Amino acid sequence: MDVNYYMLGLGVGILTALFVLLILRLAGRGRCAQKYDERQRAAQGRAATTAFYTGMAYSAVCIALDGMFRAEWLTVSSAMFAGLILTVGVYAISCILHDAYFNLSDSPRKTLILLAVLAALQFFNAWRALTDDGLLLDGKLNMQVVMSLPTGVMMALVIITAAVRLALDKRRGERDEES
Amino acid sequence: MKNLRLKSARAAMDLSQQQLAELVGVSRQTINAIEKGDYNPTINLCVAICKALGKTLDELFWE
Repeated sequence: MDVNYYMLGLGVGILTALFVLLILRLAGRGRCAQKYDERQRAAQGRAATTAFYTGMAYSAVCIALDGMFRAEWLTVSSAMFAGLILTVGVYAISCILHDAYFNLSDSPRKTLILLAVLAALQFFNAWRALTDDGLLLDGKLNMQVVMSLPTGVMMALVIITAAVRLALDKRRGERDEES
Repeated sequence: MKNLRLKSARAAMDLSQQQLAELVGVSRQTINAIEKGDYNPTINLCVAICKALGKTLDELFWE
């Protein structure tokens, strides 16, 4: 049986990261629960529902397109990863639009700077993979590009949405205080 | 429906939305949403706001 060790390592890495996040969340459960207020938690719940249905719709579209066109260059892992990025992006943007992304103790500026650095790294990875190996490897989409480019684009969209929202919120807050 | 009584009570104590939000432990946007009538707070939050403003539930939230 041929084993793709790169994908195996990637999968183990993702599972490990999720496990560590779960442990951290359980350990700080009391503290974390206070950081988002009740309205924000309700908005996050609705955002999760929106992301779930977006994921379902994306899966349905993928199945339909695969049935119609049978694209040899598109692997299951590429399509699934793109769907994952899409649902995470929808969740994040929905939270931002309902002022539920930044918790009470967050510094939005620091978070946006961190996201900008991460987005830049993703774009750099994608550019390097494209220039070194190209978009297609052995007739299939280059996984490095598939993973880095959509992630960078999603992060950039989150940053732009958050920055615009923060600016509008500040202006609205000043206007509401004056009225 | 807008909660003008809450807004008046907050203004009477010379508190900004941000200051009231910090006293109560919520975000400024939540206080704004309550005043505009876009969000119905839970009883716990109503009680916390009343305590912060020195008012009763009837005075701020009863219709």
